[in-house]
Amino acid sequence: MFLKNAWYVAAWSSEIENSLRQILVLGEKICVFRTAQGEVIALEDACPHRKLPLSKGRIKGDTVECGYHGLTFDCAGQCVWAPGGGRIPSAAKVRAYPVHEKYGLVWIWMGNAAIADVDDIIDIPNFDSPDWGINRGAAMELQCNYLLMTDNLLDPTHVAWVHETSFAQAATKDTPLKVTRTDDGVIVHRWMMDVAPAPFYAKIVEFEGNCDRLQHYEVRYPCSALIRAIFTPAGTGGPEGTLHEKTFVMDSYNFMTPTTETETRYYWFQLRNIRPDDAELSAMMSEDVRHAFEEDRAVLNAVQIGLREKTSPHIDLSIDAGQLRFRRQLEAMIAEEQAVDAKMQA
Amino acid sequence: MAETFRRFRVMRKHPESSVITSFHLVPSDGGALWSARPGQYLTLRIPGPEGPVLRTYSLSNAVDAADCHRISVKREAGLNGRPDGIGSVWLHDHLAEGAEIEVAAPRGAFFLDEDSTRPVLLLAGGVGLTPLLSMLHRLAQSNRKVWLVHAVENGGVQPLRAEVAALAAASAGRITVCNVLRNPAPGDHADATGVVDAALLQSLLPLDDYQVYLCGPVPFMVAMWRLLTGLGIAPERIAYEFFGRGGSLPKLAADQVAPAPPAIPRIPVNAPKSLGKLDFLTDPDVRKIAEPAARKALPAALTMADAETGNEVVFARSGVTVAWNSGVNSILELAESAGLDPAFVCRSGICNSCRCGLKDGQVEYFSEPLDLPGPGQALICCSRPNGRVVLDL
Repeated sequence: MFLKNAWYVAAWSSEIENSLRQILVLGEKICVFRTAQGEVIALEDACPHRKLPLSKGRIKGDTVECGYHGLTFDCAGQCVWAPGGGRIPSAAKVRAYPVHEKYGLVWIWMGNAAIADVDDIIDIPNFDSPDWGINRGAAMELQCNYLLMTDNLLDPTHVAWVHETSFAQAATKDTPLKVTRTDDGVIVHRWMMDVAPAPFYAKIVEFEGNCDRLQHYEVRYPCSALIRAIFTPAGTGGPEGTLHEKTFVMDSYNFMTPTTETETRYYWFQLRNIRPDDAELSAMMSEDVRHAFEEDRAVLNAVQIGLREKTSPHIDLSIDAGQLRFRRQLEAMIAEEQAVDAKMQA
Repeated sequence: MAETFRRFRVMRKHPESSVITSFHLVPSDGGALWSARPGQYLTLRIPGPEGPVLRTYSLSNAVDAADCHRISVKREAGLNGRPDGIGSVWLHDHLAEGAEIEVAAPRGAFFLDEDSTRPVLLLAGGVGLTPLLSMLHRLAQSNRKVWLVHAVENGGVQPLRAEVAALAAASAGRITVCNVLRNPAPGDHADATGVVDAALLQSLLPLDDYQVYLCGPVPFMVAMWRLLTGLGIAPERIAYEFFGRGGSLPKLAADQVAPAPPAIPRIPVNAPKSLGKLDFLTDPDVRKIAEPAARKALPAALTMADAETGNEVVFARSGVTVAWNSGVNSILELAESAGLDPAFVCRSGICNSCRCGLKDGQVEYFSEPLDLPGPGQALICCSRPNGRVVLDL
């Protein structure tokens, strides 16, 4: 089950060229390409005639020509030429999806096009700031339902076991978590006070000695996540902390695109507030993050199978409060949307 | 019947503070000034990148001034990547002395009640002083006692302070002014510093039955509403006006669940400059909500809650029929919520851009249009259906 009225990441901008390509989003096959003018177009990937995917056809100027009988569709999905002479049948059109490029990503709206609003795409405050460095991630295919990944991103606890050599430290095992529902998602967070920085961060932070560390895990409906880490000299952190001129903040943005019910394409990048132009640091962070996410992937792919093949119920722990709240609200939103759709079709 | 737009010439343009400029406007044809009530605003037609836009600005001078209408406009430059205010920036940057601009007659329900004899509290935040200053000019000619509290950031951005002081000085003690500077700069003179709070009002105002006029930025007005009602002032004694998009102040004040602003500074004091855009980053809990808000996105016309009023609009040309519902304010909004894209500019019954054919039924105007449309026509931005309505749209 998916929320349709939402922006999902369809691809990295760099992945879409002036050639036809099929992508899969929420189980729907979509033909995407970039016009000669550089605009990204997304059309339902099935010719209305014999349902050959349009992605098996050709780009002709600003139109797409079906590879079977040459039916030709403009960027709005309207058929502008069909063989056989005479008028073009009114049913000869394919659905066109609203798309928008932002943050180096192509965003696609999967619901009612009349209410697609690009202002609803997630706001990333320091994306273009010269004070912030970025390490662009890649995309990763997960063999699991997207909600296993949103679970994971509302779960600071797993760090101690899954990412033992990178993000973990003793305090990530037991410091209590605080769950906060916001108007667009859920945040699970905790401050760990006066601890040694975890291995991944120890290489990066620019102060000596112990730190106060914030783990801020936030997922917004339906499946965008901000994982924020703050490392600040011990004594300057905490909810009412003053912070410090050497405070290090890393904002990790994560976007899960359900391709099917059991597969997910996962996109990410990280922003940091230090050494913005240090390419070596960016490369090192990219490498370490990718390594950590591979650790997540191995676990989640196996959890997908474990849950599918379970012969007894699974149990929920107190540490799961954030995930369960998130899932409940998202389910309610999906149910509401489906009820409205059913009413409109009636 | 209200008059339509007339051309006015900028007789004088001069700065009132580092961010606020006054424009003195006189009719280009040498005709009479408009008659207005103290507190009302003018509507200006301003060129925008996508065609003219209409913007409203309070009269800031005496409404019975013989020489001109004056508006005092804050230049609303966009922050954090937001676009500049189209109207105010254009006025500041492009409207020179001697140039002309189209102006519609004074409007607005926020004006001084001159039948009352109650003492008056004028409570202004920043440029929200303008309509209250117009009221102060009129009150200066009355016998009523007046307190004007003007809250501003510092002396550099405070407009029209000398004019206010002159009115007070000539009032033989009847007008008391209190300038509250939140962050005074060196050399600024303040009657009080920090924010307007209960202690300040209690020390300033003798116990009495005041009529309050309130205008300023929304957060200021919400805080003042809470403060005033908390001091026992009845809501009906508080008149207020929003600049730009408005709303219900009691509702805004009630909507905010947290009783007080968070104790956590928005940006921790020693944070590096690079963190300036990250609000409340040390305490995510500040963003907590009681219940998840109904999310945006589903247009009201498509939700389950269609009111069973029997009112509906048939958009004949589009082949769409939509039941009226309480989620929208106007037929224009109803059309937009159904995915239609009717023309509009002012959305307040002034510009006629949204006029369309009324083929059947009746509409009700919830806000009086500048010019009532002729028979068989409707202005959809300021009307609602009365029964079944068929529009040529």
